[in-house]
Amino acid sequence: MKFLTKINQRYLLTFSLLLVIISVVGFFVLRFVLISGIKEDIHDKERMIEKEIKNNNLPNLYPIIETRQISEQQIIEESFKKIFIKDVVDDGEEEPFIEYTNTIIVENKHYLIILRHSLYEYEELMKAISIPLLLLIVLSFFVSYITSRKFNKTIWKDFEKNLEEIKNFSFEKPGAINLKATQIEEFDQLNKTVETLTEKLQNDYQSLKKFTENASHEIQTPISIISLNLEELLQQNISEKAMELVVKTRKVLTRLSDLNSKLLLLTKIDNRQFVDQKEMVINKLVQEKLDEFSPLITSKNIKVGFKNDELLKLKMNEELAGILINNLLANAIQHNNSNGKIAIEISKTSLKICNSGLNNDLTNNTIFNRFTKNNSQSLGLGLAIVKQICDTHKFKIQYLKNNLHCFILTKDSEL
Amino acid sequence: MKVLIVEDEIDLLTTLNNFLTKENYTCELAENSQIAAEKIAIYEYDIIILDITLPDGNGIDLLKMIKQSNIRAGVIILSAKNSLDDKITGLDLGADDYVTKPFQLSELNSRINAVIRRHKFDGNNKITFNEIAIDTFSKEVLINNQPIILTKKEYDMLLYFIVNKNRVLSKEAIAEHLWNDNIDLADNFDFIYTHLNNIRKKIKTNGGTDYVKTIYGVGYKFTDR
Repeated sequence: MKFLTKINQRYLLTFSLLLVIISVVGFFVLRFVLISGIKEDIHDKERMIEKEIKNNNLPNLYPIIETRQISEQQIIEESFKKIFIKDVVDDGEEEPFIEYTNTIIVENKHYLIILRHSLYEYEELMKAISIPLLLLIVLSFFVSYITSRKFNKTIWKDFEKNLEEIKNFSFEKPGAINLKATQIEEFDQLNKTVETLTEKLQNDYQSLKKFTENASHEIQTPISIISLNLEELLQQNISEKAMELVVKTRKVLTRLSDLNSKLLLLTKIDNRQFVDQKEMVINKLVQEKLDEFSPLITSKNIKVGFKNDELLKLKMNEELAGILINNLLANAIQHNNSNGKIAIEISKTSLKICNSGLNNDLTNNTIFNRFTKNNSQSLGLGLAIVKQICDTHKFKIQYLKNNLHCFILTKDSEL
Repeated sequence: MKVLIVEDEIDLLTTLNNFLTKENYTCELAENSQIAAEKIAIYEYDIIILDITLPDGNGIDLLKMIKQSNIRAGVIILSAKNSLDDKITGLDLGADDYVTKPFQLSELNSRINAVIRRHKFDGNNKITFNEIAIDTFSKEVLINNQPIILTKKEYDMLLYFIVNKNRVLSKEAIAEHLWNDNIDLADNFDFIYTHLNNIRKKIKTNGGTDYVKTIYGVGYKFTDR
């Protein structure tokens, strides 16, 4: 729920409750005040009638005043009640009255007094007061609700703009985050905190990135020097045995350099340094890589079946797409038997690469781990890179084994 | 041919200098971008070999400066960063080629030659070795002035051999040159032999000499000595 909606909801709820309470209390207070006025008036009349009775007068004015002498048995307790009486003067409509009944004793004689007071006036007054009052309360409520809503919206607009800015913030993009000043202390404080935080993160990220790259560079340079010197050594007149040693050393050196660059690649994927994405046609890539690998495939005499009827398009980084297909195919060739086979199947949503190979029990869980390898020649990083690429692009990669080893890449249908 | 090598690693600088001098280039050395910038401003070079990571500045900035001042030299970038982005940036800025560390001298030599050939449009596209002549513009190979037909890979291989004549070339280096880095997953390079045999056959049937010597356990050497 949005902050604004929540606030408004609370506001609405509290205000409505308050409104009901104020109206109910107001109604009763008003009624009490008016009724007590009427009752006081009646009591005043009662005293006047008492005086009249003392003067041997029994005033009667129906329906307002009724007095008569009663016997001791007929004594009635003092009471007020509401009654309806047909209007005698007007059109005979029933009108509300408050009726006061009491017995008074004057010179040892009992007199029944019934005083009635029309409530018509009172009800009109109640209406005349409570309706405008109610209207006023409701109106002020709506006005304040709407204006606060509007104010809130303008106040939150800058905040929401800044939130969007934070959402779109990426370490990859150069430059600091640009947040709008809101002129509200809390928001500006938040902005400042976010700005300091992102700046620090950006700096940390950049230095980490630089460090990894520089470390890799620093390693590649000595490797280059060793490699070049070995190459020069080959050009000298050295014995066959020495040459063999040079060649062996060079091979190990190549592995070292490979390891270095692949670990760097993994770190770079981890750091999400491959940002640019575009639609890659996987079929085309697979075909290109197959052509590139053709000398290896031919030298191992591997039969390749390529089911290439549907186009698989994946939105991904170009470089990573190349590496992904390269590693999957390289894996299928490297771990294949001589005279083995590779079966590639592309559908609109998946890429399946199967290869024959040793009948070992690789499991889905460990095969994508770093440095999982079954021969010392490979580095055990190729499939880890594949997994990492799939993870960052939210593709699913699976390993299945029937009589062939199969790797299945599936494009998430929701994406 | 005058070459300027810009490289901060002294060992690498020396090795490159020794190698290129042996290949009959006149080399000048710069170990940082300031020296390099001074030399570029004063002298003319045919080729500049430029390490992208220099202690006193980015090689890319130096490249920008070279291209802005309209210097005709071919630029080959040396970099430890094997990333597409860096390559594209380098080539977009006008570098002629991009070599990733670690590299082989024979490979660098081939690239330098290719850049030189590309820069000399004025005629000399011919590379000759005794009776073999290669026109790198039309990609034609002549043996005693008789054209022979080679596949693309065979042509590339022969050119690589001739450019790197008298050098022992390991199978790995040849494979890497012809099929990129990915080939390193091969545990044997016998497939090179097939291509090489085809070249030998085609040259011999056209009256040429087989200059390719097998160096056991290592690779091959193209030589008439």
